[in-house]
Amino acid sequence: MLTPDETARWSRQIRLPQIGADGQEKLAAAKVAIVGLGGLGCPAALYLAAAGIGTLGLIDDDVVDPSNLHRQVLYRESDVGQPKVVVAWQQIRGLNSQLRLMEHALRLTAANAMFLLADYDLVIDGSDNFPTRYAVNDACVILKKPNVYGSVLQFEGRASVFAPGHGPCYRCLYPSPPPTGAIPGCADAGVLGALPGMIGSIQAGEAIKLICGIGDPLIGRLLMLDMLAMTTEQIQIPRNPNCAVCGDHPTITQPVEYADSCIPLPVGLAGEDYDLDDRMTPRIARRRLAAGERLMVLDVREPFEAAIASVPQAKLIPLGDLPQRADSELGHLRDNEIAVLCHHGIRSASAVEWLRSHGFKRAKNIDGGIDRWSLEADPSIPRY
Amino acid sequence: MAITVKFFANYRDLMGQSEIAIDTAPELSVADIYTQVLGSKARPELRRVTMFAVNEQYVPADTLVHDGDRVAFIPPVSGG
Repeated sequence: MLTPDETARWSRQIRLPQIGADGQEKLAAAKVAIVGLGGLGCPAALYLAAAGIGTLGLIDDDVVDPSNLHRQVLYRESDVGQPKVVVAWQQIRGLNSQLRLMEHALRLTAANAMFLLADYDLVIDGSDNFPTRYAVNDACVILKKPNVYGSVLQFEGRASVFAPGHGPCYRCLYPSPPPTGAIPGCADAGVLGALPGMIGSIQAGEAIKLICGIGDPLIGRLLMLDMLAMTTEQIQIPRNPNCAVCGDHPTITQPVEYADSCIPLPVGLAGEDYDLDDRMTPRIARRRLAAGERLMVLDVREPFEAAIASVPQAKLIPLGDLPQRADSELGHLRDNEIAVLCHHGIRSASAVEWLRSHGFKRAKNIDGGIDRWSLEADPSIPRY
Repeated sequence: MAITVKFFANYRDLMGQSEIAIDTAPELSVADIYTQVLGSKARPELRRVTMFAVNEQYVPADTLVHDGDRVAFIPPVSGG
């Protein structure tokens, strides 16, 4: 039963006939896990805490970075360097002192996903990488818990509800993760700060609907929001009976671990220098340039990025222009080694794949991009 | 037949626009349309993970396209 104070506090929500005191009590009894306290997790956590959710689990292993502040609205300048779960906990506790907050200052992986999510009723996926998204999806399907999905990139946001037994799961849409480098993340492609605010709020709203059992959740529908055109569309997605995890004869019975596409280093090579057929470390590239070798360095970032930080010997052709410009500007280098550079090594991996499939057989990635170049090979290059 | 092709995420960067209207031969599948529209910009590693929709309905790549259809290329996005 709600106390008079509680009834007063949530009166604007209780007044909604679909929610009422009954719904408010369901919210107070609910346990929600939020995976990732970034652009999506921040608004989702705030709105769920404000709505009177009983227990919130905050899962994130990251610390606040200045580049987070344009979209991750729980953090202030003075929080830079602090663990996100700690700062989020302080902020949210001030908003709702009755809330039971569980801090999990670790990265959700395939190995710990089942254990971490087992005690929660519902999961908000606000993660920022494919390995975590697949671990969340697999664990939710196996544990039969609804997974409220959101993702953002540039001006495009997506949301859906993957409810085991009622509709498709993430693997029905995308059976397996893309290869490293095929899909850029926010660090490489950018995102407008208000966009995750919208999508994270949609995720909070869908969670509240599911908990109260009201309305039509986004089950079997992928909502796509285009913020530039300010249009939405919904793709109808059926459950795939052959899905490896939620299909009629599942072959995946435990969450699958994928290599972290954010750190595209071959296992065993992290921290060591290498110069292989298809990849090299920035330190080797710099050493070979310094020794006077005529190593072709191709920078596939955008001009504004090169203006911030660049390698003097590099030739700039933005990734999107490569198909048009490769023949005329690189055609004479088909038999030469071409070392491809970007910000973090993701776009350049795409460029390498494209170049190799178009006759540039000796294209290779500079792993970790100019950011790692600055960290490991030449601190005079600014980081951004 | 006249169809509209809508691009999402990477495909917008790749194609420089969010949709195009094209006139094609009849009896083409979504995969055929993909090959025709992407041309030299085709990237096999992206194609492998692309979800396709026709008229806002998820479809397999071998689905036949009809006059007036809206075909969408939807790669996965992981940002948060």
